[in-house]
Order: sequence, then structure tokens, then C-alpha cells
Amino acid sequence: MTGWSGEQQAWAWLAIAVIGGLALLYLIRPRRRQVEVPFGGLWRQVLQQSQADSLGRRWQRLWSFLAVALLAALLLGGLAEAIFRPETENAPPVRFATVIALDRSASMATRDGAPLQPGQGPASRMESARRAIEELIAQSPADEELLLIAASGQAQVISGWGSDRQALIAALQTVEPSHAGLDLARAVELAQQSLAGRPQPRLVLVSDGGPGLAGEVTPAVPLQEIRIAVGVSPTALDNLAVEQVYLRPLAHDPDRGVLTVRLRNDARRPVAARLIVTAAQDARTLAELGRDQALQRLVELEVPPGVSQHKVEDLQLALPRLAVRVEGRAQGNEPNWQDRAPWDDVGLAVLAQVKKLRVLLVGRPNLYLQAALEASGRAEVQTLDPQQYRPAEWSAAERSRHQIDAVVLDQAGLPPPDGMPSWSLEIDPPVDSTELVQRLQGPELLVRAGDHPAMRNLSFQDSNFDSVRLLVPQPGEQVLVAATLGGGRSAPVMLARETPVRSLRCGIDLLETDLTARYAWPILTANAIAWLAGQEEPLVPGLELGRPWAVATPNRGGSWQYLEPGQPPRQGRTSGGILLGYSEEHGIHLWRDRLGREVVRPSQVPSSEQPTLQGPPRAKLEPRAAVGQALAPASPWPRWSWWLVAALALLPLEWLLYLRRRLA
Amino acid sequence: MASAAAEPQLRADLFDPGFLGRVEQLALLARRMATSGAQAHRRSKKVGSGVEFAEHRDYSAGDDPAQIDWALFARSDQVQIREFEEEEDLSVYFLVDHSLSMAVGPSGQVSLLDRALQVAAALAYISLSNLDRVAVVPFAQGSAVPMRPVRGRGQFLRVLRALSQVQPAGRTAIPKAMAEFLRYQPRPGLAVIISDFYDPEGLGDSLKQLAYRGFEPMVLHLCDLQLLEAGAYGDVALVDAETGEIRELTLTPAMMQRYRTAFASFSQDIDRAAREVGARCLRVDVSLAFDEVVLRIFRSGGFLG
Repeated sequence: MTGWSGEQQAWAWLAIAVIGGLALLYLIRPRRRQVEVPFGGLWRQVLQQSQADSLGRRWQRLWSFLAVALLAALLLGGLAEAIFRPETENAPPVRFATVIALDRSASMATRDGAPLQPGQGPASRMESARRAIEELIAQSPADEELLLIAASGQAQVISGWGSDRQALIAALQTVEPSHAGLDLARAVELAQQSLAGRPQPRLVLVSDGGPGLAGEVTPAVPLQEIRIAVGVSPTALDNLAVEQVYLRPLAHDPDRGVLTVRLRNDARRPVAARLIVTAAQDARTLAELGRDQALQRLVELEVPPGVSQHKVEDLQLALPRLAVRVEGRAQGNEPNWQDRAPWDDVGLAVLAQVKKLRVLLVGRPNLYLQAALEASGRAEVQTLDPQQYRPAEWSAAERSRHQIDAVVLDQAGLPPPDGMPSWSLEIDPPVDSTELVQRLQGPELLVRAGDHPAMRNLSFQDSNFDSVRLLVPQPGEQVLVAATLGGGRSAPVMLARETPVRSLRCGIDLLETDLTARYAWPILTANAIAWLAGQEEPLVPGLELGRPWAVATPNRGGSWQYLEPGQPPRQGRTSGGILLGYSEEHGIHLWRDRLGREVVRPSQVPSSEQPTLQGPPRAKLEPRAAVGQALAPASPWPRWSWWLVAALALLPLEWLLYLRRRLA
Repeated sequence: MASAAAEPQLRADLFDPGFLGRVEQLALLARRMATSGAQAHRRSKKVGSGVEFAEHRDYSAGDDPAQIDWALFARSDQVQIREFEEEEDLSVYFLVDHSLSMAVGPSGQVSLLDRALQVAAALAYISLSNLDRVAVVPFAQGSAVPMRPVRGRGQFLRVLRALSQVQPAGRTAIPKAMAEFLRYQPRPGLAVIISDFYDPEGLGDSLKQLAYRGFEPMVLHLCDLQLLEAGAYGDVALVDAETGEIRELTLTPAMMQRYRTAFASFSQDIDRAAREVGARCLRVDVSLAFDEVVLRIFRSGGFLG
């Protein structure tokens, strides 16, 4: 130990002492007392039993038992999980319920957003809304249940309650803008019905604004409402819209006609555009037109700013249903023909199926009346001298052969034929002096039944009459027009009877009216002949987009049946007619009203849905708020598989315990 | 001198004069028990021409008319033949286990083997007194050549000398030893097996083989019960007397209780094997004096039956 420091030597001596002590302890360790036994076999049994009964042995068996029990429990748990708790029920308990109401009104098709990808054109408001909802879904916590509603004129559930985010996003991609306005009340009502009884209800409204967003609609049930605004564009908006389409057949050639299109250009400059006129035989919606259309005309034109009217001349009308689409020529690097707000680019016109009516005119020569009959373009007029008018002698075969749709009796006192529609112009003094008739000088006429088909588009306001003949209504006759007698009294001057056959009686003398009334006379004639022939209302000749529409019904607010193609009938709320078909996507509805008439109407697109330079009112839209917490990524493994994995992980332990028992 | 040198010496520590006196007393006691009727001399089971009446049987053609019990015929009008037991010499074999395990015994006392030799000597004297034929057969791993059976009290010395030659050696292998014993074609008789029966292989069918060959086995199980009552617990190294195998363990009361349980199960196996062949089994502690052991044997009826 030379060379070692004092401390090192001390440690060395200490080590030697410890080792020596341990050696000494080993030498003097207690020796076992030796006992000679005659038979070691018995002691071997005793020792084996002692080891088997020892605490360690017992615990070894206990551990093994516990391992097997745990293994069995895990397997049973996995089995029970797979059987009694399907994956759909494995979701965590729902603590939040959120309805996402996506505005799919027409204006959501407007492309005024920032491009979603570099190099792409402007994003539509719908695309921006989808992106916003996807981000919202991604931030949604796992215990939040979501429901997606698409709201426009109707509110429709797109994806039912659930926590499957992928399915929700897939359903979200199917939502496209419609051509209708936003009925927020319906959306809120549907959301409240869906949120009833659910925990912590929330409504997330994703919209570009519209009626009801400014606070008009207040939820009846308190719920947290979050609004996400899209489409706020401070810049001017280029938009071409078809406001009205009017189709008029030529009077001398009903197979040809003129199509009048009223266009609106929201840009502050003229926009080069083209009109695409297509026609179809049976298509009632633009979607059906897309499958059954024939190109009729392609017209390039320049649309001035504001509202302008354009005509497409000499159009073949072999196919009764026509659609007009306007497309603006794009600028810059955009595609050739594109409109930033394509939701109102289409108009639809339906050519009325006009039937020539056979009219028998009995009376003195009255060229004005005859011209009025022919001016409607629907009447084939035959004249008959009153002296030869002997309707009692007309046989049924003769009536059938002549196929007279209506008889016009232009002379007072001519009796109407039995069983035939007739229009009696009772102007002359009565032949029978005993008939109580009275002429009224300078009367003021009031239309008492403006909804009668014979009175459509008629108004006698500001018209002057020298005299009219007051009529005495017979049982079953309806007063269409009355003359004021003073003192709140009035007397009928025009009567209509529905049964047993339609008939009209008129005491208005055409020759004793001013020019205003004479202008209205052809309309009255056309209406009267059409009604008498059973065609009280032709199909709507034109459509006007952006105008409110309604179906006249006495039970407004009652129920009507909503017949959606491919869907079971369901009840509607706001009309008395039957909806035969519709295309909310293109804003077209086809109705059968309570009188059995087929009516084509454009869906209502409120003015708030029309793109403006400043966009719709969005003052009360709140900035987007974060909803919930980030959603944990869903595990691709079913929950019961974790039980199985745990059981498999336990198997090696049980195997080791088994080996230990066997080797012991 | 030459003959004396050839004659084996008696073990004075076992067969001293006191021992011989005690043996003589046991013989007198056995004789009194036989004459008192409490116990009888052992008889052979042969029925024949002896003087002791055995039983009646129906007369059949060919029987000696002289053997008809006429007195019975006169009383009951039945023709019966009187049969008598045939007396013959009874061979008694003392199969003494001399394995190393028999050399173990309580400290300061005789070993199991010494006690076995004493008991065998005493029983042999009694048998010789009854004019039975006696042979001593030491066995361990195998069976020694049986000594030629001797008869008469005068041959007791030869028996003692044979017993004195028995020394502890080898392991216990009872089935093998019994098989070798039977291979010498001994005359059937009473086979008194004196052993601790500490055979790892167990008794097997040794007793059944003896019974099958006409022997009447009698089992005398010598054991050291004091070992079961050992009060010195603690760390011990148990040395197997036959194999030398050492097992270190800590003796605790619980372990001793397990040993008692194991020994009881071991003893029950021996009892069961004896019962299966109708043999008597007597378990005695080595600490008992040999005459006390003999008396117990007498009382059990397994020897003087």
C-alpha cells in the first residue's frame, strides 16, 4: 500500500475488515443438526406438501387463478361488448347537441368568395360555407352529436343525429344551392323540433344573410345560437339574371312565336352574353329539361346595365316547354361563359295548349264583337241569323256534328239553347214588355267576382258607361259585375251560371262605353269563351323570377299534399293546391289548384336573395365562434378488440405461471 | 475349537440370560393361555386322520363304515361320517428386515433391528416349544437363503445364532425379497414379517404372493414413534439411513404434524395390504420391551391363534 494516500489506506483496511468479517461469519454460521431418519421418502412427501402449502405456493396458485379469471373476464367482456354494445353505441355519452343549419338559398351560389385553392376562381358562398362547416366539425368534441339541416324555402334534414363525422361531411358535400329564398322560420322550427329533449342544444346557422337573420325569428326554446357569415363581399358583383320569359305565338301561325326575355345586369358595365333557348315536350322542370331538351336557338348579345328586354324572333313552337339560360362572357383568365351568381340565370316558359273553340254567333252583324272573338286567336266563329235560330229543333246528332263549344247571343230576348253553353248579350229592349228590365244611365260598375275566370285581368275602373241594362238574377246565377244604385244599393249587370250548363248574361252595351272599356272588351270575350268552353285558365304563358307567387285558395293556411317525385306524399302548409312537381334547384313549381287547373309558377325568390353591390343585410351576423373542443381522432379498431388484445397480452403471463408450476 | 470357531457367536447384548428367562416365561404364559381355552394352539387346516374332531359330513359310497357316527345315527337317523383334523408340523418363518433403516432407533435405546431380532427370537422359542418348525429369513434388498427349519426347543440355540448373524445392510425392497424367498420353495406356513416397511416401492403384492403360495402372513410393523414426538424443532439436516440423502429443513410443529399425517397414511397402506389377504397387522413402537411386544402379539391373536 505504499504510495497510497492516507484516505485510500483507510478504505483498504475497511474493505479487508469487511471481507474478513464476512468470511468469519461464514465459517461460524449455524450448522444444521443432523438427524438420521429411517425413511427419507416420508420426509420428501412432507417437504413437497410443505412447499405446496407454503404461502408462496399458495400465492402462485392464487396468481394463476387470478390470471385465468382475468383472462376469462376479458374474453367475456369483449364478447359482451361485441354483442350488447354495437359500435354505434360505443360512442361516448352525448353531452352536446348541435344543429347545423346550412343556408342553401339561391344567393349561396354566388361566386364572390376568396379562392379556396390558389389558381382557382372565386369560391361560391356555398363552398365557403362547406369549408366553414368542415372546420366546425373538426373542432367538435367527441361527445357532441350533430345534425345537418339544409334550409331554403324548405328545411330538410340532410344527415341525422350522429357522431360519425365522415358521414356528416359526406352528406355536406351533397348540399347545393337552390333557386329559392331562405325561410329561416322553418329552419329554426325544424332545428327546435330536432333539439327537443337533447342536452345543451345549440344551433349553428351558416348563411350569407337573408330575411329572418336580423332578429325577426326568435327561437321558442332557449338555445345557443351561433352564426357563421359567408359571402360578405365589398366589391361589385357581376350578375346576369333572367327576370322574365314570355312566349307569344304568332296570331297567324300558332306554330311559331316570339320569345321575350327580360334580363337584369347588376354589373355597372355592359356584359357580353348569350341566350341558350332549349325546348322539350314533357319536361316540367329544368332538371327534366336537361334530359329531354333540344337546342332551339343560341343568341349572342350585349346586356346593358340594369334591366333590359330582348326578343328571340321566329321561334319554332313544336315543343311546348322552353327554357332560356343566360351566360355572360367571362373576363380575364376565367372560363369563357360564367356568371358569378348563376342561381337566376334560367327562365322557363310553357306554351299553352291552345284549342280552337267553335263559337256560334247569333245576332245582328256586330263586327266589333266578331273581331274581339277572333282577336283571342282561339275562336272559330260561325254566324247565324236570328231568324234561323231555332235551338229547339236542333237534334243531339246535329249538335254533336257541329261541335259548338259556345253560343253567343247578341240580341236581347234570344233564348239560350238547352244543354249548350251560351253568352247572352242582352242589350236591346226586351221583346216581352212584361219582363222587368231597367236601364241605368251613367252607371259605375263594380267587379264583384274578380276571381271568376271570366273576369281575369279585367278591371272597369276609370271606365265610363252611358247606360247598362240591369238584370234580375235567377236561381244559381252569380253576380260578376254590378252597378251602384246609390244609397249602398247595387244591381247586377253581369251574371254567370255554372250548372246545369255554363251561361253568361251581360247587360253592358259595348257601343255605349268609352275607349278604355272597349280595350277591355276583347279580354272579356276571350275569358268568357274560354270559360264557357271549359278552359277557364290556360297555362301560364310566362314566368317571372324574383316575384312573389301564390296560389289563390280560400283555405289559405290549410293543408295540401306535397307530392315529391319518388317520395311518399306528405303534408304541406301554405297552399290549397296540390304540388305535382317542383324543382327547388331551379325555382320551378307545378301545381294543380283546387279547381283542377295545372299551374306553373316560379318559386319565390325574395329580393334579399338577389345579389347586390353590397350584398344582403348581414349587419347582425356575428363573427364565427369556436365551438367545443378538438375532436379526438376516431380509433379504427372496434372497442371489443381491445378486450381481446388485453386477453392475449395476459396469455404469456399465464403460460409463465403454468411453466413455473410445472417445473416446481 | 474348530467347531466353536465355525459356530457364530450369540449377541450377548440381545440374548443375555435375562432375555432367555423372559422368553421362558413367555412360553409358559403362552402354554397357559392355550390350555385355558382362551387361546388355542395353532392347527393346520388339513382335515384328516387326526384325533381332534373336525366336523360331520354326509356318508357317501366308498367311505369307511367305521367312521360313521353311530351314536348320531341312533339319535337322528342320519348317516354321517366323523372327520378329524389332521395334525401336522406348522412351519413358522420369521422374515426379519435388516435394511439400514432398521438400524435406526431412539437415541440410547435399541434399534429397530435389535428389537426385531429379540421379538423374532422370543416368538421362535414359543414356536419351538409347540413343536413347530421354525426358520429365520433375513431380507433387505433381497432374501437370504432361508435357514433350514428346525424343530424342538433344543434347536433354539441355532435360531439365536442365526439371528445373531443378522446385520444391517442394504435398502429395503420387500417385493423383491419376498419373491426371492418364494423362489426357494419353502414349505407353506406362518410367515411373520418384521419390518419397518420403509420401502419406496411399497409392499406391492408381496403379501398376496405369500397368501397365494399357501402362507399365512403376519405383519409386525416396527416403528419409532418417538421420532414423531420430536420436540427439538429448528434447522435440521435429515439423513436418510438407507440412501444417505440429506434434506435440510426447518422442523416446525406444523411440519411435524404433516409428518404424522404422512406416517398415518403410510401405515394405513400397510394395514390395507394386510387386510386384503386376511393377515393380522400389528404396529409396535421400538421403545416397547420385546416381551411387551410379544404379549401384544398374543393378545392380538395373530400368533397363538
